[in-house]
Amino acid sequence: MTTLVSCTPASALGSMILSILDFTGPAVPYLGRGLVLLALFSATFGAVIGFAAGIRKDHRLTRIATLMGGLFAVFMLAANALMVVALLHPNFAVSYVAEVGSIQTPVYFQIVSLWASLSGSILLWGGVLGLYVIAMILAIGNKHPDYLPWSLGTLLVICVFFAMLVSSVADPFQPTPADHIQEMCLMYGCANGLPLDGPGPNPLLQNHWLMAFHPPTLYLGYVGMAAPFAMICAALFAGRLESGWMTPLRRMFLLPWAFLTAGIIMGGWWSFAVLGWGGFWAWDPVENASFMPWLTGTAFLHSAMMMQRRESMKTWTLILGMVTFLLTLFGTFLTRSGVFNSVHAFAEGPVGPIFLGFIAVSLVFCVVLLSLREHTLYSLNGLPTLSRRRLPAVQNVSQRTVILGAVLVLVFTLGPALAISMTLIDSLPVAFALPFPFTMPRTLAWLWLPLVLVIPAFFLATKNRHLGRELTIVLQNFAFTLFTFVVFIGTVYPILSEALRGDEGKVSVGEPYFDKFAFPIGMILVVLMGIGPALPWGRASVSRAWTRFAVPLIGAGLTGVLWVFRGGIQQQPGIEDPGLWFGFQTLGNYLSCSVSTTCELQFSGVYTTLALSLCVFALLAGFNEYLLPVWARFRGKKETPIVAAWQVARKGRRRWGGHIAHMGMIMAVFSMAMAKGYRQEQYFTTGPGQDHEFAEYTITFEDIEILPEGFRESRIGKFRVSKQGKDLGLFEPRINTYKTRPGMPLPAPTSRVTPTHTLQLSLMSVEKDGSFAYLRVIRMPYMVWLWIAAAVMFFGTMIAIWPSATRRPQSTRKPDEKNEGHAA
Amino acid sequence: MKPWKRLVLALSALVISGAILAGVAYSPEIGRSLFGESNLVMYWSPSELLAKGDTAKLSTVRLGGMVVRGTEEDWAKKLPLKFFVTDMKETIPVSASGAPPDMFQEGIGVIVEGRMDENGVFQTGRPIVKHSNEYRVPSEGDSMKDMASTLKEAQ
Repeated sequence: MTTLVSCTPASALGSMILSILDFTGPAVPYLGRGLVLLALFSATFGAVIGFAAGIRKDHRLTRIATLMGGLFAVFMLAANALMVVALLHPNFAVSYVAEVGSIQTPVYFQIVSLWASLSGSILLWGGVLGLYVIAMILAIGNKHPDYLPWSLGTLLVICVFFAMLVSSVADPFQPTPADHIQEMCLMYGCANGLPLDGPGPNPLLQNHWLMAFHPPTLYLGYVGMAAPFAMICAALFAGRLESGWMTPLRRMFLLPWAFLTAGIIMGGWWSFAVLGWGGFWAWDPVENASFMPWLTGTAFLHSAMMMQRRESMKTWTLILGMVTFLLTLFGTFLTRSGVFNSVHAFAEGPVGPIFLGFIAVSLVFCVVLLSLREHTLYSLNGLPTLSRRRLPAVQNVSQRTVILGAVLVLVFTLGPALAISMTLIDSLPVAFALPFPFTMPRTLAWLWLPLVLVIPAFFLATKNRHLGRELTIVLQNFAFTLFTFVVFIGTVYPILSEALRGDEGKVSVGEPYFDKFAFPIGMILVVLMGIGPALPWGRASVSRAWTRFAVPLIGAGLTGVLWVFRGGIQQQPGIEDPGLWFGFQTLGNYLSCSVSTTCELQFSGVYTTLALSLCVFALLAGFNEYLLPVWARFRGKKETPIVAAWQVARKGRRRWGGHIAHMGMIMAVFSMAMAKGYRQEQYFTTGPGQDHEFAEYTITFEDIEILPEGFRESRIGKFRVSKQGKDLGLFEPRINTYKTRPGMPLPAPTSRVTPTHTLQLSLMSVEKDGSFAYLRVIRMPYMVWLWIAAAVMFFGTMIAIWPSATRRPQSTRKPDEKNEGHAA
Repeated sequence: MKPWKRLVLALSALVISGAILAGVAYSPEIGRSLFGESNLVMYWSPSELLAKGDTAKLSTVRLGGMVVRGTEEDWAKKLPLKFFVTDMKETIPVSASGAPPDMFQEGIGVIVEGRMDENGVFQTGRPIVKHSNEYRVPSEGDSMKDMASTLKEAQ
């Protein structure tokens, strides 16, 4: 606590220090406010000094701004620590603790309460922002004196905004009002003028350990996007953008991106494990809010490679980076302003409108900065400036690529456009709609995908030799941008509709809308993930491309055939015994049904089969890509395979990290496709001793137990589960009722996790005497791989970020070209 | 292009796209054709649903209201679960194929997503108990009249 002592402004009032350091006393709110105000002051001062340093190119001023950034971090983190202490105690003199604190909550969840409610999570925002200020200062180091002051200035302006929020409208450190304390005293009893207990956090937060990791991870992703944003603005302010600056920028972008990725998947995990609805993603607005910046961020990471290596797509890349930051702000606004509950709820608190104002100001700031400074980026390095008048997305890419890109854009945009007109004119013949998945009979939808892929193949066939990695990156960017647009419209529409039309306009956009777009776009991305890294920069020779993709293509085809053979495509309702040719018979039925407009048969597993074989394609293409250099070293340098693999990994750490992240993504797509495609679910109404058959399991209801645990009461249903006669033990799904919110009992499902599937038992409701229970049983194939994929992607990104010992000296000597050549 | 011209262009593009977005949201027809009739889920109370007549039977809606139990036999714990949803003006019979949450009881606010069938019975999956913003669930002590006012606020 020594830092706290040195930070207090009240150093003159030595006698007060003792009373202030009493974390149980009523002085804590004032101490917290003091820390926040100090943080606000350092951020403001630092921002002004930072911009001054940028304008006057004065390094002494830069140093002061750096110091102020550091101080902001220290004060904000201290304020967070103080709040945690207050929550642990719990000190109800602090308004936020009075809101979410409780003495009955276990210590673990008392800490978690820091992000249980609005003002606490804004405080955490500030703290994490502080961490990223330090991270950015460290990442930039001494090498970029031109950029550093501008980055600091911009980032500290964002810090000022959050410090202002924490010190005014979202102040968690208010002294609890006297009448509120009286109310609480009536409810919980009093000692020394403070209530003995409080309401505690929302039970949903207490029901699972993941709640301790998911929100802060997501925050580390969300908040961190402010740092690369500041660095992008710095490039525009400074009026230059070399490849050298892209190295810290990329690193500062990857760090929050990795956390965002992990946070999103963890959210799915939490939702699967706690809510017990047997799904992990519902296109809920809150989920979309975190997904959109991930989409634009991923697009940024790839187009930044174009920018760094080919000096092209500069403006476009910067736009993506800026949009990512704006979307994180937008996401925080959506999740934290209560706008989803009701537009009216949003208008009640002051935080929502202020946040919206900040987003609007940031948006206008981005547009102005980009418009006025964009031209300065193109006058460097003696590069021709002619190309910038063309579409920014396709600079330096050959003419044919531009045409191809245009064709694809047309296909992408014409699809939705036609979909709109088609829904207006129902009578258009189905055949006409063939290339577009949006309105045709569902069974025909996937035909659209090969069509899009056939276009590049057509260009290959016409001896176009300009197909390199550039093309795949341009396509990837198109796909990601379209995806973002689709999600954005679907998320914002209900809010706007209600805001403009009142109660009449209360709607929600259903999952099918999102799924319809997510599947084809996702599949295109999987294919690109296979093709892209395997193609060289610049020209790719057709024959070499074919040799590279022969094995993956055969593998994908074979997988598809085998999967159908195994019965991967099923006719609903399912037929008992598949038999040898069952799979192909179904496939035949499916195909003949596809071309008929009157066919009413339902099929399952078609999309999943397609997704599976495309995943195999991407996986094999990636492996191929990694194995070839190992093989070359093995043959050429006579190294053992392990040494060769190690050397390859060490030489291209960044590339290797990217590969691992791609593998993780493929794993995630595979798992999602399987879990969604072959999910089984059933409800049982059950009494003691009753048996139920579900998939390969037999579930027997035995008994219930009522377990009081202090802060909650659990009703535990005991189910004996056996698999083909083999006893798997007792499953104990619960219903937890928290003392702090008795009106909101929550189910806590139990799962059996195996590599091939997850079995989840969820007790929906149960009689106290154990005579009756509602049980929901879900079987999700390959579910666990999605959670593993999060770790793999995080690991891969960290490898790519980690500064490599071998690359450092090279990159200082030759800024970039040579080194890039190595990696590529 | 001069920087300031670019600025004017970019800002006007921003304003225009904002206006288009607002226009789309303002007109129900455009929204319906953009997302597809079946993908837009409306929130309706029982009286609003009945007011639409037969057209309501075509689309998926979210029906919000208060739970009223039917006969003893219907209320017996078996699936599909049969109950009524009311907004104090109109009452609609509901048949739910999914198990209700533990706090499901008579007089509680509920949202059911599904559609009306031929016989005027609302078919749904799992009934979702409606929380207010603070997850405050109406408690047993609340009288029917209190319930009605809570529901009115919530809509």
